Amino acid sequence: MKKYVLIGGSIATEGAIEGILSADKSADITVICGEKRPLYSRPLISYVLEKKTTDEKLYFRGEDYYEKKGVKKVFATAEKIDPEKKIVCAEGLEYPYDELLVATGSKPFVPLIKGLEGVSKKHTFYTMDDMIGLRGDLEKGGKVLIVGAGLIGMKCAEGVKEYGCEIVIADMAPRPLPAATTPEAGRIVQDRLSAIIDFRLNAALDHFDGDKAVFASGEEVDFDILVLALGVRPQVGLLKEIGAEVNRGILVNEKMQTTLPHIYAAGDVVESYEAVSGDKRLLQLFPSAYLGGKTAGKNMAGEESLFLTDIPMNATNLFGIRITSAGLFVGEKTEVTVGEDYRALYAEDGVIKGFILIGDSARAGILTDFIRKKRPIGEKDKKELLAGRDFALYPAEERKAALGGNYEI
Amino acid sequence: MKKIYVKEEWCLGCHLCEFECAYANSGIGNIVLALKDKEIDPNVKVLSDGKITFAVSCRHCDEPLCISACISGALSKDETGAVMVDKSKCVGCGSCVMVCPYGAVRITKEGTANKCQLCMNNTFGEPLCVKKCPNGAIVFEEK
Amino acid sequence: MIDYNVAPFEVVRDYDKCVNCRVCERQCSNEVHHYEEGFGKMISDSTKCVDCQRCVCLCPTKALKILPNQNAFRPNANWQQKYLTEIYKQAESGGVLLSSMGNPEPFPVYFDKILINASQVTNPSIDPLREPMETRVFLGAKPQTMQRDREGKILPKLPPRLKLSMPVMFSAMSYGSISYNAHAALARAAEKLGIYYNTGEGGLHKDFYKYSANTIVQVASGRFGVHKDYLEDGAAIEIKIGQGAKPGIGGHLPGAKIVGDVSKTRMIPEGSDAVSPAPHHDIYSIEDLRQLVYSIKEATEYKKPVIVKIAAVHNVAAIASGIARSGADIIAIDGFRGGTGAAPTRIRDNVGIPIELALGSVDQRLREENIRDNVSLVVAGSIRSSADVVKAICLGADAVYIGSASLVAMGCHLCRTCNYGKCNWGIATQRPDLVKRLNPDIAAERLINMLTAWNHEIQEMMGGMGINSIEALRGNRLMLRGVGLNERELAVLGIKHAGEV
Repeated sequence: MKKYVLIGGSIATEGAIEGILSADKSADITVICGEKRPLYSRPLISYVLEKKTTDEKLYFRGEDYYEKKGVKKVFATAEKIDPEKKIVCAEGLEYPYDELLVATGSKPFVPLIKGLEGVSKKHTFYTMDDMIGLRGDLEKGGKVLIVGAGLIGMKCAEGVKEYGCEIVIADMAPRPLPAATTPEAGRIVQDRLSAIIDFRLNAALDHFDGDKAVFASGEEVDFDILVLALGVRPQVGLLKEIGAEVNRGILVNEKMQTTLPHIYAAGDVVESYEAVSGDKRLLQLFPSAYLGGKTAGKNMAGEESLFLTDIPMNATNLFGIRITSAGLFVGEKTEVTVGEDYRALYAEDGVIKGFILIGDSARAGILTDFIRKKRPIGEKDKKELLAGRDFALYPAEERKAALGGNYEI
Repeated sequence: MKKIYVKEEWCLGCHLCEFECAYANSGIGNIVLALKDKEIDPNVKVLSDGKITFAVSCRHCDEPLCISACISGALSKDETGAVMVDKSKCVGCGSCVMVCPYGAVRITKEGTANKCQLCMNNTFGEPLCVKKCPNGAIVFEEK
Repeated sequence: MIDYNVAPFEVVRDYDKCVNCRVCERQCSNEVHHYEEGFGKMISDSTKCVDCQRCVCLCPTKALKILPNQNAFRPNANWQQKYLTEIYKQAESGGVLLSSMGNPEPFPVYFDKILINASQVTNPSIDPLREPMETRVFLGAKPQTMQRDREGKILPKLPPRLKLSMPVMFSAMSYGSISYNAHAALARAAEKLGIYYNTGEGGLHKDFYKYSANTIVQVASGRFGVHKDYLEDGAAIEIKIGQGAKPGIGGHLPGAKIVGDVSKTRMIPEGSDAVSPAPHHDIYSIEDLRQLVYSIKEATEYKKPVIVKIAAVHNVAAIASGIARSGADIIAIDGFRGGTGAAPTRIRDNVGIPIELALGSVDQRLREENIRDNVSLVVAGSIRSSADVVKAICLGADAVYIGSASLVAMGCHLCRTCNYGKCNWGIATQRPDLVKRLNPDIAAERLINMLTAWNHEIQEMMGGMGINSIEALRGNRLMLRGVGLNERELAVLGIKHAGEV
């Protein structure tokens, strides 16, 4: 019986469990997880804060997921890997493995800012515990300053809104969602939300003075509750110290193997193959984690599997504004505006590289598939794709085979 | 598993499947009552490439991307292999819509995901789009 | 210009039930229905309706029905509305009136005035579910004598024959008059059932050569699509002299329909009219016919039976007698109610005679002349049910051809506008979007279902008469009685009146 040890207890781990079990029914799997909770869905925390769903439903595979799958779980922090002896040390115990997955994820980035220690109510917004802590403070009311207008900050703001708190969002960038959207799309979001949210953009934080943020411009913002949403950093330490090749994340190949034998990695912690650019990238996305984990799991169990279709993508609904994007915003842009909706497509050499849709996202997956498969697209068809008659643009034979059940697109 | 397949060479573009689907999933026992003066939002959509028409609904993929992307656990496979939706779990993020290569999942007006569930959760017992297709263009079979 | 015509039908929509799904609009090739934005509902232009019932059948809420237009001209037993509207049409167009399918006029239907016998007490009836019941038929000449070799063994030399699992075949309907999919369905059903379908005059599409064992190929006056492979492909070859719906005249398929595969199959250029002459210009006598019969036999090495098909006309018995002596193996006779893709209305409605009477007189004549076994008799011209089949066999037929009935099984509602080329059921059309409506998988299954049911019914009726072999029923006129027929009619049919012993 092969022994599998998985460090980390989130989506990549779930994917790996599914992958291992699909190829090795008798697998002996142990999950070592520092966060003392059963598997839950981190992207859901903003929806829980927003009361769109409940704490119980965070355990999206059921609280007994590991038990159902016959997986042993250890709530402990992994401290060391010995690749020679093939052992993981965690809180004084040793866990031998035949194949190891490192899915340690990432940690919210908290910069060293003067006066931060003097802030009375400060939070990051990444784990379930973060959310519960923030919610406790929000229930008492007050003014909230969120530093960082990325997806985490914005989704957090949406949750905060539910508590009737006044919100200020500050970011060094000139617009909200600087990484997840294009300048045009970011601006649309900003315009639509400026009535609800007090944006402070191009605003570099200088220091805190008690419960007051002071920006480089001299501008000051008082607050009762501070949320730091300045992005996350991969937790690469475990592998870095034993000599695995590490950049910003752990480098893995298309099988999700690290440079060390019998050690795989997946999820937020890795830099893996990204199909649009062909480069290794830090993607830190839910589907990437799941599918990367699954790929790792299959390979760990001896079934060869390559993950070649991973691309950046994001879908969210922010204060009723639906934002859907995939790929990279590079190359020639084709954009259309349909009523309130904005749609843009980016293409290079007759191949779609990326898209962003504000508003109606119907059948967006077809665009995503065009990017993944690098299907050629005619100039005329670009507008058609954006208009929504998209399925018809699949090559006729491919479409026919797919609908007839002889092929999965 | 038995799945719905489309033989586009026989699709007439009549759109009957859309209306029958809307009826089947309306929870209303009378077709007139179910459809009269209502804007339908069926799980099957008839599309066209200008020359040929075809009905598109969930393929119930072997390795469904929608489930891989679903952050809430609302999408899952049942014991038969069909991809099912638990609306009570869905938060309407639209990740499934973003990844489904068939464009077969959508967010409804209620703000949750919906898609073809093979008429397993209504009283018709078999997909009504299949039963009512006038030309055998939609079939429900094991392959 | 005044439009003198009145819509024959009225489309009635139950707005309480209509859900504006627009299926009727999408399915009507005559563009009767459309959604009126201004009203927010569907409206119908009844003047364009041909009463094909497609919309009625497809409406998911059954909100539609089509009624005869109640608008009435002043009643006149002589100048019926029909005659007036026909004159209006001709006064406007100056053209010959065209019609499709069989004669709809209220001439007597003799099949409906004939009743079938059953056994009581003195000769037991047979239960077809418990005992064997033979409906298999062989068509072709039946040898009068037996030949033996020197050792006295019987020489099994039989003339070429067709073997049918039941005494029904699909009539000649050309690819062109009906669609590719209709042909595909007929061919598949014939193969499954162990019977035959008939190419008609349009040649044989290359896709259907695989059904050769169940194909009868036709040679008509236009000789369209006739070549060596075609003749060799048929299980039998039919020389078409005439057609029940239009005896004495030829055919005309307009150039507009000679497109693509139809043109290839007919072996004539795209867009050229396919004109079948009224007579075969090489046949002016029975002797000429004999020459063609033997030319064909020679070309196919005497391996295939030759059928000669004629329309039922006044001197049909004498003509049949000639054909029976011409070397033909099978005579097909088409009565005046036989269908057509297009025929001049006046011809269709006024020329020819009923198949029942023609059959009675032909069978009688051939028997009298002792040449009945030279040939098999196949009759056509509105066989509507298994009872019609049984009656035809009792009157002397070996088998029947069904045309209209097979189209009805596939969805035809006898709207009789085949000549418009816009058949909403995908049968009598070449428009690709309409042809598509007939899925041959479904159509073939429906044909098979219908004939399987007919065969069961034939067996039931045979069993009731105490007859277990269809051969024993052929020409068995004692099994028939007429009702409401006069002496002459009974004499021609060769049957007694009901109540006579």
